[in-house]
Amino acid sequence: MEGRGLEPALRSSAQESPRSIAKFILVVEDDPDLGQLVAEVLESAGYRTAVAGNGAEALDRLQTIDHPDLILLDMMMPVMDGWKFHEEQQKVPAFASIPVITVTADGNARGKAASIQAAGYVTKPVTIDSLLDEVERVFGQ
Amino acid sequence: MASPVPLLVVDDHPGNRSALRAILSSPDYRIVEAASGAEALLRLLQEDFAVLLLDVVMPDMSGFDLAAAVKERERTATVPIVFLTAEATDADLAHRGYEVGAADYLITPLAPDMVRAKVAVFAQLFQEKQRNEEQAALLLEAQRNESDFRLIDLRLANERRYRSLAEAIPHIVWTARPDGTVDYFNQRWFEYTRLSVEHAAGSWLGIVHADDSAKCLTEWENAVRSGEMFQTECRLRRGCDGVFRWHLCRAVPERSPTGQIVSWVGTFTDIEDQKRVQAIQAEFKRTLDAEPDSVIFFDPTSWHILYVNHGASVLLGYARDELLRMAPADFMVDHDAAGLLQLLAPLLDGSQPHILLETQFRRKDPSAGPIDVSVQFICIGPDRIVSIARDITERKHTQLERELLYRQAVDAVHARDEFLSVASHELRTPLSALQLQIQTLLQPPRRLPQAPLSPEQLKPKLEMANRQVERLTRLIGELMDVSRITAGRLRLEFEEIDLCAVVRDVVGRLGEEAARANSSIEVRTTMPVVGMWDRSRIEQVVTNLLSNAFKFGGGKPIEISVENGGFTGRLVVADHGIGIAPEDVERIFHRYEQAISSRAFGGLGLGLYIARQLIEAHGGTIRVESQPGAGSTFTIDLPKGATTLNEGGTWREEALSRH
Repeated sequence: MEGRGLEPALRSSAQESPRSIAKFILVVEDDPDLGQLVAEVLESAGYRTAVAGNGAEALDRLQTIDHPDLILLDMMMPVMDGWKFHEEQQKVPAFASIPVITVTADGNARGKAASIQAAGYVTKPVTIDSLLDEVERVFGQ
Repeated sequence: MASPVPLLVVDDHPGNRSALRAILSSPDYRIVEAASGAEALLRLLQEDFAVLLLDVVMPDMSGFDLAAAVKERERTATVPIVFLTAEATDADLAHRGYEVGAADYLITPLAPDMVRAKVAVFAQLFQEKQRNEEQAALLLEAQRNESDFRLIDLRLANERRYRSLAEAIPHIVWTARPDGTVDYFNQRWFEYTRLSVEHAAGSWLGIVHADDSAKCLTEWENAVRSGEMFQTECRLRRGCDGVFRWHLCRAVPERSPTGQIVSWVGTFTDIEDQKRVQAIQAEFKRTLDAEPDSVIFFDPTSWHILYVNHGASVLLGYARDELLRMAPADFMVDHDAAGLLQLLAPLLDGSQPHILLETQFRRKDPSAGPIDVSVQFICIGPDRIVSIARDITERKHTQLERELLYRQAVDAVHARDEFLSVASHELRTPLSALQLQIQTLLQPPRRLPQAPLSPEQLKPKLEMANRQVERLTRLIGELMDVSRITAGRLRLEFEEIDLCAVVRDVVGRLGEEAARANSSIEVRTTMPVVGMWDRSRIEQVVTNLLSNAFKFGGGKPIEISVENGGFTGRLVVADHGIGIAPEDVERIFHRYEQAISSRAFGGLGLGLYIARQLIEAHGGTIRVESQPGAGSTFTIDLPKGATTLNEGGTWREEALSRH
């Protein structure tokens, strides 16, 4: 909690939002354990979440769930990877403008994020701080 | 008015014949043409010609052979022969010409003035001869009629004409008595030798170079004795500067109508310049022949090849005289005559000094395949192109090899980078899950008040952490195996095991993974199949094959069976998933390779590589049959004795690299 005290504005914005208008985040991650954990962490910080196991599943979910405010996108996934998902996302005008935070493992995380004009990026291994800081930074923009 | 003098032109090239016809076009001449040696002989038997203009190179009979045939026949023996040759550059060739009785020769391309001057001399001699014959006939008649006056007049008139002709021509002309004593020199002799009549003293031998005089004297004496034509080449001293110049020396006997030699008529023709040109050209040719590149001169209007060097003959596999009958487009792969003309247009209109081209030449032997060449075309005259071609087959080959190596290196680097990227992702994903789980347990997430967890709540979290640790352990194990295999330090521990039991164990252990992949596994085992194998490694192989089937099996049933093959045990794993394209079948057993992008299916792409290495370390084989879209069947045959291993059971990379 110590470090968090330095960012009261960011914290309060999410904290003071009524539950009904809490930001909604779609987590796209092929590892079910990790997807669930990320969702838990985001929810504990006051966000609403949905989880999809790959790009294709995410596209399906977008049709049925609320319009997400942010997509947290693992780039390397079976069936449909992050790049392909982003390509498909851009084809649908309603989804094209949803900001994306990429989740990647290797050294060139920034480059990979830039390759799809992502709003931000998180590098694996993911920590609570790195995840929430980046999400808040993107929403603060 | 005298009738036109008949000339016989013998050449197989119509172009050359028409060129001569154009040069000699005159009402004074009647030109008869023959396209072959045989035709020429026929014409020669039909009528007398003032001169025979004869191409040295003809397909049916060489000029030399024809000349020899002409000289052999009494009817035609006296016809002067002038050779037409592009090959006059060879001193040997010139010699051969004179040997077979050539009076002279002309080098092609023809210099019209030279041709006309030379032919004029022979035409005049012919006319003289005809007149002589007419007069001889008259003389005979006169003798019979004893009307001497007219005869003497005629003889004197004849003599005068003869002399004036001799004075007119640019050669030294002399006459000698039947015994060889010279009784007349023309003006040209005095100009050349600067000797007075007295000095000459009845012989020309005094001005012959010391080195040539013995040979000259012998041959002249032989001729005088036998009455045969005299012909030799020797150096004659020029009076003005004492320089010796090469001359062609000839003398023919003149006979009375009864066959008696009445005199000799001799000519000396200055061939010094010709000899010098020949020497330079011979030098030039030797240089070109020493050149490994192919050098070809050709005429871009007629497409005649005028000269080829030794290198061209070697490169193309044709003899030189074969090439001289061909056109450049005959051996060019990418250009016919029209195409070549288009290519050479900038040379011919002068807009480019030379043209460089990489192309291919066809060889005489088609089985040898075309040669890659770099050709330079240079224009050296309005109707002369030189092409210099270099064989670059070797260079091309090296270039291709280098490109291939480069591509392989790039592919290898790409495969490694791809692997590192995948490995990084595969290792960091479970690490992320572990880290987040531990962090949430240690430090409650930001906003929610942290209620102490009950053991029931804690258990699934710890189980998840344990799963991720197991996954990390397996990944690290795979990496370690690859490292061991690469270093040749894979160690197998053999014991007697039943393959069916191993399969059942592994399938039981992978139940959860199978459920996650929505795949059912059908196990078909019968009697125990027992062999000396490394249990943990065989388990690993079965695990890898099943994981592969889960990953690519598309959620359809998977069959695994064990069969007894006598000395071997057989294991078959079949899925009904996406299958493998034929071109990828071999690749899937390589390191870091998946038939389709790793990104799309996850995993390190090491499973099948490790499986193959482990099976081969057991002396066994693994193969795959697959149809894209219908699934893949992996078949493993394991020798039960495992006898292919060396002592200590350590598998070494060298042993495998023999595959």
